[in-house]
Amino acid sequence: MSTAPLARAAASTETPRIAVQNLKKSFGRLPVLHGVSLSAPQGSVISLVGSSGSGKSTLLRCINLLEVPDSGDIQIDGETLHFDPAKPSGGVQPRQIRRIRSSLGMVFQSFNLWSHMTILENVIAAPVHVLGQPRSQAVERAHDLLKRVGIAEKHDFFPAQLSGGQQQRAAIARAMAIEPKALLLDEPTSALDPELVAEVLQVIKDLAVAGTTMILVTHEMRFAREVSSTVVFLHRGVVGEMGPPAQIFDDPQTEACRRFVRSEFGA
Amino acid sequence: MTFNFDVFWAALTSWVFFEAALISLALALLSHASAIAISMPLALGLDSRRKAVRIAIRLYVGVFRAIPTLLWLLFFWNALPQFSPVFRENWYTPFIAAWIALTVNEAAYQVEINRAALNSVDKGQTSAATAFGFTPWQVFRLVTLPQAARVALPPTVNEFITLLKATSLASVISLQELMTVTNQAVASSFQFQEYYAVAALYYLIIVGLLTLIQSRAEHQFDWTVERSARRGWLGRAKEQSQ
Repeated sequence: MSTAPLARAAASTETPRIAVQNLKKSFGRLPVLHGVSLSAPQGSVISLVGSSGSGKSTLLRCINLLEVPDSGDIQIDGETLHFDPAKPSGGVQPRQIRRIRSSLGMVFQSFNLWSHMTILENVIAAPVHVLGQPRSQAVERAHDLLKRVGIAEKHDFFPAQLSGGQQQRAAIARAMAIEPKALLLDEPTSALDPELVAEVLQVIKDLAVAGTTMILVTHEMRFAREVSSTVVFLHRGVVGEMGPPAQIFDDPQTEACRRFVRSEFGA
Repeated sequence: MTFNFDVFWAALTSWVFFEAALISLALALLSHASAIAISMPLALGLDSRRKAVRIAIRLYVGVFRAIPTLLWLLFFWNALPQFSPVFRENWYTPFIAAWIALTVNEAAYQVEINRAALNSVDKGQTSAATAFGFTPWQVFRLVTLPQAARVALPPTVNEFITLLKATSLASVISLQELMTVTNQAVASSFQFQEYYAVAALYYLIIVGLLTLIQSRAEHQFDWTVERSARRGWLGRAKEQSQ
């Protein structure tokens, strides 16, 4: 593979894997997202950065529809969901919501592997129960994925028996098992002991090199710089600044972004 | 008066006592199964957004816990037939009456156990399932229920033991369960020691077997042991899956 940038730049004419337009979300009276727009072309790696409370995680959870946006549009591989603030659940059918969810692989900060299932069962659960794949096919693919994330021999273990890094790698395998249109990662290394962070970042980097479309919420700025095709700086629920990592980190245009970058890199 | 071992042994191995013990066990099993089935929606209803639903369930639990099981048994056997001729027909046996009485009574106790167990399931576990496109029913069946079952198991077995002993109260409505048969044997022979010992031993055996099953079940629920290293229900090492 060639050197940086790791992620392939995609032609702008192509339908983006994920596009978000003017997305708004508030919790009760607390507004969190005030109209966010972004686009993730196929094979791109989008990093969402920003201080806590900026709405990064909420944005990610909205894309997966774990939170139902108040208004705006989400486009997944050409299929557009329009959220109408006047209707319950934005006027989107549960069936459609589930179909979108099952086409996006979610990786959580605290892994959230199902504790009563073995690693293998975790990886095959969604393919079998949601996508209706034959078990044997799902098992075969699960073994491949577990090998790919480096924990092939752990398939018969329960999550509690694995280290945090191993659990997160298993969670990434679980997310990849549904052959997602994009991978959504919500601070995937924040809950890990420092010595376990590298092994998880390596797995994510490998997936980026292989062309997996990803949207990633992260505090690992050096990693975001290395792996991203686009960095989105969220500030108080809006896109404060967006661009290639070099621009955001070396030449931020706004004061808020400058301050954030300075605090993160400790300069 | 000395303990007559022959009388004890004859009673212990008699069909009458064995059948009575089976009736006690069957009544307890059936009542608990139906109580759990009823208490599950009630437990979910306790966290309902509708206030009327929560109040109705609280009322049910309050009423059934306050009134003694003995009174419920007498009510369902003696008083219910006065409400409707349906309950004066042949199908309405003491067993059916006891089953209903113990079920509605036990359901009130099981509600809180189920609720605590359901609420103990980590939110991240269910939201992960939701995130992968599971339907609400799949989330419940594949994630919430198995994890809640593990938490509910020990207090539920406890409840079952209490319930098994409560079946002895059904002797007041002439159900031919273990205590009824024991009392009948005692009444005609005055050999208290021997027959009481037989009844006691039967209860001990049933509860002993149950405790054994419980420890096996808890072992199955131990999600910190590698699956291939765990043992099957019959104590044999399971075949390795891969």
